[in-house]
Amino acid sequence: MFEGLKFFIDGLLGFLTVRTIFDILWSTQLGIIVGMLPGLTATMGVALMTTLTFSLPPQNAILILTCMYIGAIYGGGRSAILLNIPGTPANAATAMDGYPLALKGEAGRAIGISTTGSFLGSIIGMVLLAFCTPLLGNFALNFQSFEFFWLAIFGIVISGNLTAPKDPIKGWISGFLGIFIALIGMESVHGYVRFSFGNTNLSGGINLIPAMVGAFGFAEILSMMKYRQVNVVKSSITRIIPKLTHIVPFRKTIIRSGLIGTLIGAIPGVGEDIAAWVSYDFAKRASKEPEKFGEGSVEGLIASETGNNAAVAGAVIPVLSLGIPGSAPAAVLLAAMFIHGVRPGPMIMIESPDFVYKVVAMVFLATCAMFVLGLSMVKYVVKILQVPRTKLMPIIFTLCVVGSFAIQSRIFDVQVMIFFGLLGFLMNEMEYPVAPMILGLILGTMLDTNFRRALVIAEGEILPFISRPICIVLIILIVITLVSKTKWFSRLVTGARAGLKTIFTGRRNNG
Amino acid sequence: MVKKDFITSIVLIVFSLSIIVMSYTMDRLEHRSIDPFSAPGVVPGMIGCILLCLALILFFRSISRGGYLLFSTAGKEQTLDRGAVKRVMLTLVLSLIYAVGLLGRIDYTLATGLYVFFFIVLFEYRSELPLRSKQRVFFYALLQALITAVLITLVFRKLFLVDLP
Repeated sequence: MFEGLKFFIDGLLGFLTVRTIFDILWSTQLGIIVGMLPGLTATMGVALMTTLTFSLPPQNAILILTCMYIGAIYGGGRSAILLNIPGTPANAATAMDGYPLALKGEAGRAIGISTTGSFLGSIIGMVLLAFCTPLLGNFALNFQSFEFFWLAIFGIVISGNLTAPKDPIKGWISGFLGIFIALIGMESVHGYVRFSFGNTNLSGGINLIPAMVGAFGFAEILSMMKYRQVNVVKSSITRIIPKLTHIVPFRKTIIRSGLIGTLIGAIPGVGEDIAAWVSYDFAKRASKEPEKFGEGSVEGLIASETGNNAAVAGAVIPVLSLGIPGSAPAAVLLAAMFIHGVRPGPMIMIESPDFVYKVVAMVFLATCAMFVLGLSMVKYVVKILQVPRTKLMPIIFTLCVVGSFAIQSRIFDVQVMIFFGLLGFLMNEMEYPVAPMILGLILGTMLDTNFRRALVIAEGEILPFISRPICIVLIILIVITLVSKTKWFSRLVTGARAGLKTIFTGRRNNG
Repeated sequence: MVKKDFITSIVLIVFSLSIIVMSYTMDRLEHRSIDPFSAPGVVPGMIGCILLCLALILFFRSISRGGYLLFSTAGKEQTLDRGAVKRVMLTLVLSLIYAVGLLGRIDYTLATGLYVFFFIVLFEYRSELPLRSKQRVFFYALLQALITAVLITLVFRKLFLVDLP
C-alpha cells in the first residue's frame, strides 16, 4: 500500500511541470466545452483527442485523454442545467433538477453545486481506483481461458441488462451483434479471414475508434438535427462558488452516490449515465424530501453529478485490471493505451505497477483542474451554448471525419464511421442501447480466442467450463442477470424477503 | 414499438440464420490438421445461434402483443414527424456527399468549405425571409465555411501533424 502511495506521489511530482500543467488546463477546459455542447459526447471528445495526441509521448497523451474524459462528463451538466438537454447521456439525471433550479433563477447555484458534486464524486472514485485496481488485477491473475470466456459473456449480459432496463433482450442483441462485428476480418488463432467477402479493407477488421466516432458522434448529430432549435434559459448566473452549508447537509448523499457511481462505472460497458440514474434513484429513496425530486432538488442534482463523475474513475478500474472498459469513453481510453503501447490487463500490476498509480495521479490532477475551471469563467463559457446547431453540427461532422480517418489514413474508416452512425441512430430510434454493441466489439476477440483455446485445452469437454470455481460464480451471476427481470424471479425475491422477515421478526407479513 | 420489434425480429432472424449457414460452411482448415475445436467457424456459429434465440424471443413476443398487424391503425406507434424525417435525411445526404463523394476526390479544404456552406444555407435559408436576412444567411455561411475549412486544415495538418483525407 505504501509502495502505491510512493508511486502516486512520484507520478504526481512527475506531472508538475509547466508544460504538463498547461496540457491539463487546456484539455480539461476543452473537455468541459465538448461535454457542454449537445452533439459532442465524452466518447467523441476522447476519440478525437486520441488522434490529436497520436504523436505525443504515451503519458502525456493518456493524461490529456483523462482530462478530456473527466471534463466532458462534468461539462455535460452545464447544458443539462441551462438547456434541459444533457450535453452527454451521463447528465440526463442532472437535467431533472438542474433545469428547474435554472428556471427558478438559480442557475449559478446549480452549476456551483454540480461542480462540487462532480469534484467529490471524482475524488471518491479516484480513491477506490487506487485501492481496487491492484486487488482486482491480482485476482484476475487466476483467470484462464475458461474464466475469460465467461467474463466476456457476463460483460455483455450485464451491460445489456443495465443499459436497456425496460427491455434487456434488446441490450443483449446489441451486445452479441457487437461480438459478431468484432469477428469480421482476420482471426488471431489461425490467421483465417472471416466474413470479409473478398474486401481487403474488411479483412483487416472493423477498427474501434471509427466505429465509436460513428455510433456516438454521427448518430448524435442525426439525433440532434431531429429537433427544432432550443433556447438557453435566460437565468442570470450570479454566485457560483457554493457555501459549505449548501454541501455539508448532503454528505451522506455524496458518499453514497460516490460509492454507487464507482461500482456501476466498474461494471463492464455500463457507464456514467446509468451510474447517475442509479445514484439519483437511491438518493430519492433515502431522501426526507423525495417529493422535491424533479422540481429542483439540490440533493437530486448532487446525487446525479457525484454519481456520474465517480463512474469515470470506476470505469477505469476494469480498463487497467482486466483490459475491459467500464464505459464507452473508457473503451476509447483503452484503445488509446493500446495505440501508445501500454498493455492494460491482469499483468499490469506485475509488469508496470507504477503506471496504475500514474493514472490515479492523472485522475486527481484532472479532477482538480475540473473543479477550478468549473467554478471560474462560467459566464463566458456558457455563451458557447448559444451557437445554433445548424452552425455547430457541420463542424462536428468534419471532426468526426478527421477523427475516424487520421489513425490509419483510410477513407474506408470514414465509411465505417458513417455506417455505425446510421446504425447507432436507428438503434436509438428502435430503443436498442448502443453501449453493449461497442463493448461486444471490444470483447469479441477476447471471447473468440479464449473460447477456442479453452475448447482445445479441454479436448472438447464441457465440464471444465462449468466446474472451475470462478466459472461457477460467473455462471451464477450470468443466470441471475438473465432472469432478474422476469416476473417469477421478482415473485421469488418478494417471497424470500417475506420469509426472511417472518423468520427474523417472528411476525407474519399479511400484505 | 411492437410493430417495429416484429419487423426487426424478422431481419435479425434472417441475419442470424445467414451467420449460422456461413459459419457452418466456413473452411475448417482440415488440410492444415488443426484441432477441429479451434476451427474459425466455431465462435461465429455460436454467436449466430445466440442471436437467433434472442431474435425468436423478440419475434414471438411481438406476435403475442399484436405486432404482426402491421397495417392496423389501432395502437398507432409514435414515429418521427415529417419535419424531423426531412431534417435527418438532409443531414444524412449532405454528410454522405461530403464524406463519400467529395473526400479523396477534391481538395480537403475545398470539400470541407463546400460542406459547411451548404449545410448552413440549406438549414437556415427560408424563402419567406426578407432579402436582408437571406443575404445574411449566405454571408455568415460563407464566412464560417471559410474559417472552418482553413482552420481545421491548418490546425490538424500543421499543428498536430495529422493526416487529412
